[in-house]
Amino acid sequence: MGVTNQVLTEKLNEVFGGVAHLLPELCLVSGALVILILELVLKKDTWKLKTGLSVVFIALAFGSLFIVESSGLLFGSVLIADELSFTFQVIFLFTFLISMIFPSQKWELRKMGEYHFLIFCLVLGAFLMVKSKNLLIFYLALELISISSYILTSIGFNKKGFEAGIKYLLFGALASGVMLYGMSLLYGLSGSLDLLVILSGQMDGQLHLIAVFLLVVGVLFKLSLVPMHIWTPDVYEAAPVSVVAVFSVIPKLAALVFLFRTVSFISDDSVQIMVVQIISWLAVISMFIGNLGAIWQNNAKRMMAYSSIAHAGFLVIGVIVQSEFGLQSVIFYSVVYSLMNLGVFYLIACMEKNDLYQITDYRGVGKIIPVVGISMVVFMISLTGLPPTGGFSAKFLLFSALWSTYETSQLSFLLWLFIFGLINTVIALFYYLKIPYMSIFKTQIKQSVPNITLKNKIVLALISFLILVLFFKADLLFDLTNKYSFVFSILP
Amino acid sequence: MIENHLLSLLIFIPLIAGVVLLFIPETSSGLYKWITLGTLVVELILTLILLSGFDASQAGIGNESLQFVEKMDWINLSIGSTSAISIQYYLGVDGLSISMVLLSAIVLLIGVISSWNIKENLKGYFSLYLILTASVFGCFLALDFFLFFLFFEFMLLPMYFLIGLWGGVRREYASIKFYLYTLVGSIFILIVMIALSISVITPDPEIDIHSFDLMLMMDNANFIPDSVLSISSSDTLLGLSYRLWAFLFVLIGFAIKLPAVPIHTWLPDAHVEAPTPISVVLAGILLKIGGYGFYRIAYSIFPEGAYYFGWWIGLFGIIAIIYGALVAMAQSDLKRLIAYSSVSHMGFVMLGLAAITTQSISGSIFQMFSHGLISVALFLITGVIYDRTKDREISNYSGLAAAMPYFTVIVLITFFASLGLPGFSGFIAEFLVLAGAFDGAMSSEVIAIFMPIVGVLGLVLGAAYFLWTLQRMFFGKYWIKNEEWTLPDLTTREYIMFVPLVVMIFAFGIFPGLILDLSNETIMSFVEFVQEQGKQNMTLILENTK
Repeated sequence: MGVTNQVLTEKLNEVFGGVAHLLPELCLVSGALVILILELVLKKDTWKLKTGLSVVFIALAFGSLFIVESSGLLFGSVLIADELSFTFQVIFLFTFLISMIFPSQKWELRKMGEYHFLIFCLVLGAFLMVKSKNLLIFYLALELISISSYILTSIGFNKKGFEAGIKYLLFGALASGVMLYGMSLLYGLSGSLDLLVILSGQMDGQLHLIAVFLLVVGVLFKLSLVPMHIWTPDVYEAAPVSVVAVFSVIPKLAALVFLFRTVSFISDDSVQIMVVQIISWLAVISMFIGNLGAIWQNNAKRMMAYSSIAHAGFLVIGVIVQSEFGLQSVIFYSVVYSLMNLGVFYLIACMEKNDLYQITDYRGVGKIIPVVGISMVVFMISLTGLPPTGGFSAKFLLFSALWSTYETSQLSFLLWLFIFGLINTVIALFYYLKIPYMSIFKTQIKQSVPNITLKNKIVLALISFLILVLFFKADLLFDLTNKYSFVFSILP
Repeated sequence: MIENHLLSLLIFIPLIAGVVLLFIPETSSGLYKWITLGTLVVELILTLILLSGFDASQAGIGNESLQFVEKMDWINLSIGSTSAISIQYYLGVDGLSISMVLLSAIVLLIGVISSWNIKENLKGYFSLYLILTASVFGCFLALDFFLFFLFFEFMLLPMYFLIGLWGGVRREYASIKFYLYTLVGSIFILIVMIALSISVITPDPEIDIHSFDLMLMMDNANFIPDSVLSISSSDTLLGLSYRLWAFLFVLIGFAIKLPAVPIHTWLPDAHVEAPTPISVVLAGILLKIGGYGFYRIAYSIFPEGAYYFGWWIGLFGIIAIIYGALVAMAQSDLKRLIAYSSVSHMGFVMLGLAAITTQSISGSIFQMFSHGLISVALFLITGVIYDRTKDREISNYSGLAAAMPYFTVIVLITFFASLGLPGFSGFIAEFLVLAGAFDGAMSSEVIAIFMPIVGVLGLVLGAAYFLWTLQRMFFGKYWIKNEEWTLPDLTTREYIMFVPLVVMIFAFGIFPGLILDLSNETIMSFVEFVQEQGKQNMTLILENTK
């Protein structure tokens, strides 16, 4: 009896101890609930109020991130709280915050409170995903993200949105199913749900390998890496811009972190190399499909969807290299990637507000409003990965990490990834330049000057400035990331 | 004070002026060109101060003898606890880059004067022009690979807009083509830059500091032992050692810029569509960055490549000479003709570099300088005609000498200088290249003896198309296609551009020492370095990768 008591007390202590570490998540949950209740109670126009409240809760979550000491395993090693998860949580909150100050869109006239609630849920899911070490928690987090995403896709209440939402749901369900199958195989093979226990054990036979791949499939779906990318263009085109901005950053990076953990937990070298090899070929194909697909697009959001497929290929390089340098670089890349995407989608939102949807509609805009023109150039050059922008530093660091792994390991597929990845920059330039090309080289057809407010201009200038700073003082951010050796030390 | 930061001033004055322009309201748009002109005059004065303080007896190979050096830490990235990447703000000049800086200062100044009658969107034009100026100087002064790459790459953006916004009818096609072609080249260079920076460490015992210092990269001792780019590495890719691949990649990257046949096709389009001042800058300076990159990066870091691929470099050099000349002969558009003549003349630069003798490389460098001046004059000539009639078809004009006698004198001198008449700078350059190439073919057997022989043929072809053009357009009975065209003789502004150019082309033809003495010491030690180190590395590589 005494022994059971002791075990119970230990467990309870673990739980209570763990709860204290979940303060940021609790802030998000309470934010979601408060807004949901508010929506039920108040019937009037509360959009501004809800946005304001969201910002408050984001600030609370942000503050609590710094209060909670972030280290160690929680709830009996179900969650990992470390600097990796901390960094990405900061990125998520920043993205969330920027998405709240997007210029208002037409569909917001419906004044739906569910919008804020769902984004809170999505961010909560992402928070859990970057911390998850247990397959069940991971699945929970993934579904939390997915279900919120399905609804958010069609929240514009138009035909396109419903179509895309259903498509997304079907693909998502398929991916989840496949992944669950893989998870159950893994559980059957190892008798544990703990990712570290599963992957650090002996890996024998094809079955184990297949199970790992099936698990990875679900993650690739959120990353929109080929071959799980098909949903991306439709969803990006149909969903409201602020939602797409969130989609293009938060679920993607959360999945990236989980993928990183999964691959780094694999202790069997030959299995790890095999997994990495497959991911790197998928990355190469993603870059080509994304970049070649983007060339033919005229809708700005659709083009960005293909661009995000290509960028998924670059992001997973961080997973492929499996070194401290690689991890630092991929965090750098993630920050720059979020900034660039937020900037571009902010710009697209400003344009959509003025009924400019296609790239060809952007004719002459940059000429009339220089701030828009210049920030367009900065974002697009950065997305392509050319100096002097953060996009260049990010790509440069990532590829340097790739090369140094290649030098030590001499695995030939890394060299091909290196070369194909850099060649893709040229293809990317071709379509990214289309936007500044239209807006600066061409003259406007419509006579009306697009209405871009001072606030919009300030946000655009600020994001462009940050992107430039990340080139000229790249060490400011990079040195912050220089404490991740710890992630590798928890490996057995 | 000024001496210590002379090179930074050269880069930052135009940059700051470019930004200042953005804040001057459109109402006083007349100011823009004067500010730009003033900035470029200041640049020229600074360059002359630089020249007066330059000691030509210093070789400049290796760290010790570089001059006006400015070195600061710029970006320091620490990786884990055991290594770091250090990017430096590292500027300096040696005998070779100083002549390129002088050329840039002259050409860019003339470029502003020829921009005088740009009409639309003056603010954008002149601020882009100033940013271009800053990156051109940066490119010739940077001694850190990262910094060099930054300027090299950043130059494309203002060029893209300058061609695309102020160019001719097909300007959009030409500007994107220019951008994509040169970007392909930059990617090749970037690949090598990343690989090099991971392989090269500063001689520091405690932690590995990966460096971009071009001077460190020249010394085999600074490579991490057994890293794939080190000399002792035995790894090969498709049967070729990694160092040779790296040389080849850099070579291709800069050959696109030069441009070498068959990757020259962006050049005629860019030239034809670009406005006159931008053609002037493109032909006068940007092409030279290709040649400068051969010298500064490809040959200096991988000297063995100069031996291994020397024969091919020479071959592509003479292909460019002959092909460029033949295609030029077939052109009906004057500007296109001159663009192809550029391709032909830049072939001499490659041939001279391939031969690896002091004479031939001096010739290459002198050719870059002299072609810089001559091509500027040639493009200004097309500009003069185009400004008056908006037409450049050779067959639409005849007997222009009657209408524009003074202009015809200028054209005569420039054309003769370009076809290599003794007494002009072009002759000295091409003579040195060919003589050096004969010498190189006899002694070191890097290039074959037929190459300089065929190269001489290029001179004949050059004479043919220039004389033929002269005869068709300027001599004979005065006739122009459209009666309404008026063809007044040169204006004062045009004299201001042409007279100094013609004087310089003469002066450097009669006193080539003015430039050659600057770079002589550098070139001698460079050739010595490439010959010794190249042969030594070649033997080591062949042994290791057997």
